[in-house]
Amino acid sequence: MNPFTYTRAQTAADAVARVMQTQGAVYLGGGTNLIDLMKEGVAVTSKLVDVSKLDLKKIESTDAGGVKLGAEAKNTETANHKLVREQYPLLTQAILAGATMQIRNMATDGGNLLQRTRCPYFYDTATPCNKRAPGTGCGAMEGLNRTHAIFGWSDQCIAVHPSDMCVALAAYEAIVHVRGGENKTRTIKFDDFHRLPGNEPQKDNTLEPGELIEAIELPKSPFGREMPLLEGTRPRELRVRARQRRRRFGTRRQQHQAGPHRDGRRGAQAVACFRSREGAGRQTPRPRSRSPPLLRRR
Amino acid sequence: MEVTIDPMQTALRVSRVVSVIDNGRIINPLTAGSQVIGGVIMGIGMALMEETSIDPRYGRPIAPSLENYAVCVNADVPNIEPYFINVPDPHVGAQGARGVGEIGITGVAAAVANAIYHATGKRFRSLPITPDKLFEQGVFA
Repeated sequence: MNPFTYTRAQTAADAVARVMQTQGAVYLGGGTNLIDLMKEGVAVTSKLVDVSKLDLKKIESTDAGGVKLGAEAKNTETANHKLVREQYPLLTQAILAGATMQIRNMATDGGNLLQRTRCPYFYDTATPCNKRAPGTGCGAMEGLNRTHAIFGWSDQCIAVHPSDMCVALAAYEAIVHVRGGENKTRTIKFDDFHRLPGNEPQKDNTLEPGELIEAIELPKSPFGREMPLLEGTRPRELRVRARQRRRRFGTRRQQHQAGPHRDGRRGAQAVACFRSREGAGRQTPRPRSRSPPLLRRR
Repeated sequence: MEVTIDPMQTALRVSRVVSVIDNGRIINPLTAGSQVIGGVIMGIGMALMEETSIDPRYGRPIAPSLENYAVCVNADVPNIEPYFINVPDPHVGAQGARGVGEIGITGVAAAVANAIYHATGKRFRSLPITPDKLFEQGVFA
């Protein structure tokens, strides 16, 4: 077992100072990811600084017409908050699509940004992983990587960030407020917050050592309300497209009753849908890794 | 067995299951039915989600925890209708009743694969039938 100490910070400045003074100290929010990683021996820490009692739990509207989420607000509370539900429904849906009720009750908004990847090779300390132990190699590259990155990967790492919530925050162009050493505060645009693996896959984000996330600001967005994720609450354009499809191909039930479809009618729809997304990727797709022989046979 | 496929959402769902079981005399239809429903749910998981992957290079199970092992949750479970033939089986005992056990899982995964064939014209011969396999066979594209 790896021994570590635990302290509880009273103020944000106090928390930053406590983390800065000890090598290998980290912040503890809801603990839903960090504790797992410590149990598995993936995260090795010398000191936990509990920030759950700080005054960072508020969800409030800003003067600029947006909403500010305190870093220590719980995921459940955020998803169900009136301001978020009304102005940023995509965020509500993204949060509720992830994890389980019990985990969302504990997990904090700031912690959600700082989750580590769920790559199984990252979790298994018997396998190589450049993210966990830089320089050891990547187990997933030639291994089981069905759920790994298609874009943005590097020779050293093909893991992806696990958060659903972060996808919504990126779509809303959120701004991350952080506090660092000497009590300096700064803001980071959400697009700049997480980084691609490159040659330093161990670094998930652009936070400086010791920096603490204080809040996540959602700017006022003219599209905020029109950005839903799930069927049934699709924006107008998609509803129109669905109506056109029904007119052309019949309802789903009619299609089903017509028997097995081998003429690719429904397939054609999907192709059109993907075509429109062409050019969205900035990089050519990762070639499928050579499957190990055992897998190829299946 | 009925499945629905949404190419827009690239999603596949089991939408209805009818399971008919010849299990001798049924003493308690409610609990026996529940037992079959449970078996069918496990069968749906077997067909679409549950998998322990072993990395052949290391001979180790990859992700050997429930964290990455998907099983059916409430949202994945459709309307399941269990029926029984309810004819006593004279070879088992005086009652003609048999234990239901997990008989409900039998054939469910194959039935899901057949339903997918009916819906798409594509045959899938390895479980679980995950979205990437559907993509590979061109169901969504």
